[in-house]
Amino acid sequence: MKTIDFKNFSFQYLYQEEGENALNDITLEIGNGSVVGLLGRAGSGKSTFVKSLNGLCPQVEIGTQKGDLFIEGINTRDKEVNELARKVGIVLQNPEVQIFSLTVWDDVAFGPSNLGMPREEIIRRVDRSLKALELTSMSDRSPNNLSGGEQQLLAIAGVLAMEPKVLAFDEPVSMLDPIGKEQVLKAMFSITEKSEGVSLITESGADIEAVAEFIDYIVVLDEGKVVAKGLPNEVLQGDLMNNIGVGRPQVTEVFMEMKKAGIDIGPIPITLDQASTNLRQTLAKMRITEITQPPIEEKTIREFGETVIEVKNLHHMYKNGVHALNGVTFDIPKGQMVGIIGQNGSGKTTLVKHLVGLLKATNKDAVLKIKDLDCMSKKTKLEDIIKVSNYIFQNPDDQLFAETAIQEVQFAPTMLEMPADIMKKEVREAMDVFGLWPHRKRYVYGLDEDLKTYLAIACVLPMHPEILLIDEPTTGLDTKGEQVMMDSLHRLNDEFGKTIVIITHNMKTVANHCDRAIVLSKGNIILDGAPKAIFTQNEKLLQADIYPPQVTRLGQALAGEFNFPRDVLTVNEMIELLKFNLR
Amino acid sequence: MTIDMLSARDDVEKTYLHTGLQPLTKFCVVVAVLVVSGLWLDFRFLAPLFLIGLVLDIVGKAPKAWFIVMVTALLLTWYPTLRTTVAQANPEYFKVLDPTWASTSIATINIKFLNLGTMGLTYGTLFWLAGRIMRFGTVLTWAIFLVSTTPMNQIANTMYALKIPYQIVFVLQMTYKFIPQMSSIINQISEAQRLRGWSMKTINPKKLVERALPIANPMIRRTAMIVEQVTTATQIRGFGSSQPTAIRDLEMKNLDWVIVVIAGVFLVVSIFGVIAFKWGAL
Repeated sequence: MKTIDFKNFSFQYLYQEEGENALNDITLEIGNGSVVGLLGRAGSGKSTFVKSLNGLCPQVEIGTQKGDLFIEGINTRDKEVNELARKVGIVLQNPEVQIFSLTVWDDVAFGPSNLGMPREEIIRRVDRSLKALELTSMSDRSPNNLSGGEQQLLAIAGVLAMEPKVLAFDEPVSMLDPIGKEQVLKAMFSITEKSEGVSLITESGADIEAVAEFIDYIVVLDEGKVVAKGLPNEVLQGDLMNNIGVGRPQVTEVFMEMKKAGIDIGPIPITLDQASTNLRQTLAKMRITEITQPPIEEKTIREFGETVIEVKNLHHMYKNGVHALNGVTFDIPKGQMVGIIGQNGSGKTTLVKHLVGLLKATNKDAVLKIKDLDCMSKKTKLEDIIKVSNYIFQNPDDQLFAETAIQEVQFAPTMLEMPADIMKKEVREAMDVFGLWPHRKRYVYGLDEDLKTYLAIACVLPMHPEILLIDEPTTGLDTKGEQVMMDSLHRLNDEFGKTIVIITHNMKTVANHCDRAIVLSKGNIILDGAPKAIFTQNEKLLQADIYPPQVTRLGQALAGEFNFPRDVLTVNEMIELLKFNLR
Repeated sequence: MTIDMLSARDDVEKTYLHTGLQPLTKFCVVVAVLVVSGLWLDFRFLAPLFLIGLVLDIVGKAPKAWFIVMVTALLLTWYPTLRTTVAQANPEYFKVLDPTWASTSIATINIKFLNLGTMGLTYGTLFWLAGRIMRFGTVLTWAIFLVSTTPMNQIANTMYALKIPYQIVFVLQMTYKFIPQMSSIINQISEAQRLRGWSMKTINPKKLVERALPIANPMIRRTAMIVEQVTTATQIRGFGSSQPTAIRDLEMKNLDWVIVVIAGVFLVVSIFGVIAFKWGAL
């Protein structure tokens, strides 16, 4: 008997039109002891797949189910969701909504207690789960005071204590910093390794490198259909992953591209360890003892304009005593693309809120100038700052409210009482940057997540801010969505001369797209410079819970033996380097 | 007192008042004090209760900001306090104090502001005013004692142990947990809209409604999303599948019982004193 058994399973949400299905005729069996990666673009049906496992679809999220799904032989149609909870545990993306109790211990006990288990059994399970996730020392703490990674571990512990046969994780690390991601994924791997059941993790591309480290089977979904399944090496080696917009791990990409170029550097890897082992063997076999840099081509060195942001000795102390910024000093020239990185709670958002006037420095001797505006002066009003510098929050749902996309973009010019003819032109121009004009008449809440994210940025463009501050522009987007976003930001940067500051947890984004990275840790800038320089400072990066991108770490893993450059930032750079040395 | 301050109570240093006494014990004591302070008018009777409450707050390390809120709340009631204070000049109101002395005018003043009119200050009104302030202070200091030394999880555990229906306790727990979250979401939505030039500055009622939409719409949507996610998450954790097991018993120690009995005796004796000997009356 298979643990998970889909038989011609289809699901259509109530709001979907005829012929449109979230899951489409899925027939799939998954046996015990597997760690399955469920890969697909945003909107490909991954979450619906997971929610079907315990009957949330269609029992809570209403819709029409066709076909059957069996969990250990039990048809999900025959059981209530809370009964299936004994068999299937699901960890959602946002830990906050999965934590109900007021101490860590009580929260882990919540599930077993709901199942009406004897108290001794609850105590045994809670202690075991806390131990498995190394949370025992925190058992009396309030979940509110845990970091994002710790909260997600707590959510996992809560589900684990119910001892389900199937553990499903719906993008559980997308909101975490790199080390938080690793912490959660390692814990997941450790518990699934010991478990006899099935673990399932969904991923849409941004964290494909981290997820690939732990999975032993892959199911790929596209438009609600299973388009591939098999061992990770088999599935990730094809072109499918790029074609459907999920992408492949950076090391896989490097080996694949080298192979396409006729240079075989060994079996295609999917993890960093495999890649470094394979490449090491190839280099040794080819008797290459030292990697040399290709001659530096005359690259166009990006030049920047005058200083548009000047910050000196900026402190911010919140009323609860948290010293969020501790004497931060930096300046940003016009036209630069800057990535602000750091662990959750390092002060990134607090810093950026100062750059748009939402927060004021709590020390009087700070200097904070945005172009000609002295933000420390009481005379400088928010209305003045937002025309020069504007900030887009991470969650588009925090700002979108209008009925249609075009009305949403028209809002800011209307508030600024812009003349109708100018407004029309400005709105068109703003929507065109992200290719939103064809969607202008669509209902805002009916837009896909990627379009909503683009729309949130487009909304501030008619105000012509010279500086754009964007919080996590690529979170929730798949690889294709991320590409569209970053291309649009480059267009704003190159064609419109905007200075762009992004806050991100995605190191690939910083390495591929930013001119400069500022690393914050505990309210201090610990590193500031070009990504090439930043990503070689591993010890300092660790203070901010950051790892360099996978491809950079590949170079660093071989630096000792082959004098491999430690600052290879992108897949293309690595390919060029290898081609130069191995031809 | 902000909502965030309430939710941050787990960070404070725990004293014996936090961990040594059962919430039920503290609840019984506070109820007894509140009932008695409602019966007494004389500040000389109320003062010891107020002082004990204050000492407990200090020992329990209640946040200083809460006292600022307490004084602010007291000051905000100046108008009804003043109106009712000057209404206490009738000698017939005084049963314990000498009515003639109590209604002797100390000063009169004619205030046109808010139609306050001619105001007379007597010894009796001064006593009454002092008693009112003292009662206000007593209620707040004891309430602060209860809230600041009793984490919500202890309250929830006590309610579960008292077999209060788990649905009710869960709703209370969720409200306590999500109110700070909702408050930060509203703040975030308002900041996001201000960055798009939004402001509420208008006195036109139609525009006022229109301008509330950019806040109300996302807020309703986010609330609905959170409710939906929480519902999903509770189902995942088996909520409602059966009567949950209480994970703790109500563990009343000897000291708890002694304090509860003392509080009960205090309440009964005080009520008897009020009825029989006019304790605390003016």
